[in-house]
Amino acid sequence: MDNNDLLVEVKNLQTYFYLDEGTVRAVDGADFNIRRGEILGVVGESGCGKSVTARSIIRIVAKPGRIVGGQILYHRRQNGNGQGEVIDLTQLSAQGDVMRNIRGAEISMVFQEPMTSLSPVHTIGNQIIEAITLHQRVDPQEARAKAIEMLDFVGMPLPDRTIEQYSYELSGGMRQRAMIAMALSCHPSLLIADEPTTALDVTTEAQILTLMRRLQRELGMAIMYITHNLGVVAQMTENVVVMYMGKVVEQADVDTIFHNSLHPYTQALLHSIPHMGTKSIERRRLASIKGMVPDPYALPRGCAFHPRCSDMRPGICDEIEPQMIEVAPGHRVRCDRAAGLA
Amino acid sequence: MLKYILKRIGIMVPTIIVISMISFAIIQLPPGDYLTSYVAGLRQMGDNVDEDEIAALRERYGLGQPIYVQYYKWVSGIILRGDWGQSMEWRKPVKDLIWERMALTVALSLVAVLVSWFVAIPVGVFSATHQYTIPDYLFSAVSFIGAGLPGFLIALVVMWVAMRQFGLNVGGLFSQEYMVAPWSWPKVVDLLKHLWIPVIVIALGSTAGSIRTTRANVLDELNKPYVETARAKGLRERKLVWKYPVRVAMNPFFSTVGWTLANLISGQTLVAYVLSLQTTGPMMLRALMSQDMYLAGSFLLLLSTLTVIGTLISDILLAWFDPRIRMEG
Repeated sequence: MDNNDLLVEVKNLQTYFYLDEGTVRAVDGADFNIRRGEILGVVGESGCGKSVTARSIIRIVAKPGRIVGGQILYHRRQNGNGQGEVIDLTQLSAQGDVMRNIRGAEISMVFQEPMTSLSPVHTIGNQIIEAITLHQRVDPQEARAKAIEMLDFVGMPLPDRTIEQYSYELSGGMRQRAMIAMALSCHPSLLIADEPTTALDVTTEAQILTLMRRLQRELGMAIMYITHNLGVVAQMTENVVVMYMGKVVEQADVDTIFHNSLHPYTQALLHSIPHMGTKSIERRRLASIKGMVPDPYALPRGCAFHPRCSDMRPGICDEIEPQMIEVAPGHRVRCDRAAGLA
Repeated sequence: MLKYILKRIGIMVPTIIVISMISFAIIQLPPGDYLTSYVAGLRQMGDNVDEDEIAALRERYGLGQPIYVQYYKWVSGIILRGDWGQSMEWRKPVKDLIWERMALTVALSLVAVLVSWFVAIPVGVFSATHQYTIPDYLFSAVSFIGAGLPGFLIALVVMWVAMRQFGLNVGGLFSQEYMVAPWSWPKVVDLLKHLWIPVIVIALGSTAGSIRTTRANVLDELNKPYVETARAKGLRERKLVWKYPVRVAMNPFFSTVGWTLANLISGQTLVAYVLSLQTTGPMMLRALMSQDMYLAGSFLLLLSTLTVIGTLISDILLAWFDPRIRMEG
């Protein structure tokens, strides 16, 4: 991988939540890279640490959560000379100027719930213009013009009317378009999309996905696309990170994940997707991953997936924590057996 | 928006008419009238009662007539001539009695309400954004005590402290020499000198409650996704807290304006007694007890009118601040 292409390197990231009941290791040693201009899919069940990883990157992890270890290296491209700088985001003050200048401008985020992610008492325009004037030196008229331009860009019908509207006057899909317009208003190099279509119906979802692909092509930004929907992963992404209990268990390009995945968890996830037209296995029951997501306060010893794994080897998987192994260029897996070492 | 306001005003008018009827009827409910209790009082003291004089008074106040005639006379007097009737106990027109007290009461309570909001909102927001920190616990403890202590007790303590420690005589709103004097600049200065104690006492009780309300409302809003959206924009934490969650959390304040206005007049009666303030509360209580019906009726009518107007103001404020409500109107 050309180092020049790197945008964000997440290295051994650990974000813990200190609660009265105990410590939840929401993210516990996540490792992955995001390259410039790529769409990276991050998949996993609810509670596997996808969203907390995203919030760690833009440093908005809510209390009592805290980044306790690891690095998030952001390769910032300076204007003009191409000479960049590398910033470790975990070392910045979350409320400091540097982080606030990156957040929302260079790395921005779109959330899951378009219904509640916009303020109920401010107009769409007010909220988009706020994002613009926060990071760009423009007068109010220019900011307004830019906001209308952004709304038009994300396919909002009648943008100069919508800018005066409130979020409750728009449909879910239109709200999500407004959110995307807001996130893109400062032309970020990375857009983090945290399950942006989960709350939408299928037709609207398809429109939003098409829109995001188009925007990514036209603006050349990278997208970190968080989802639990493997269909969306297949459609949207180039590279995929599979997370389980706060760790990355497999990372590869999208074709490898779908056709040549190695980790038992990835395979189990793939088996739980319904397939159309698979006549050979008639009326096959949809496979589910057996067992439950472990109690976050008491993670199992060894490999966190071993209680649910069909290939569990007693004495090994429940004792020794597996390490990340690169089995092919760009294909890494956290399972000794799957990597062919055992 | 204009249509919304007009519609609300349209509903207000019949509401006030009905309330005035009901309150007039309620005043009449206890057996007897002002004159019977007046006569009974005189007899108890062994005084002779001149039957002719009583009959003349009864005639003059229209007490012998049916209730709807009395009501009609009273209401038409108010609407047509601005005449609120006679206070029997004070032997004066009601309007001469209440307006000065009214002005004092409104001034006093308005200042108290503003002081209380001015303190309660920032403290409540601070408590919410610093939940479970030592200052939050401290403010919570103080506000619980403030909410728990009755106002008249605080008034007594404040008076005692002012008397013992500073040698001040703090009762009333005016010094002796200005009590009945006509309004003048020195009288205003004298009023301001006396005003701070009742303001503190009255503000204290409502501040405590408002701190709790603000804290709870802001806490409810702080974890809403739109706050996270604002944070993800790179907005400064303090700015985003005041622009988004606090703005939404202020709705309950606007909706309480309705009864805050009425409270201006009837509230704090006990405190007014203790501090011997010339406000409306004690006068209204006395009028109700002695069945001084036109005075009591006028107070009740004013109170309900203020409540209705207050509700209208709440509605307008809410619609102004929360566009979702405008839609439903």
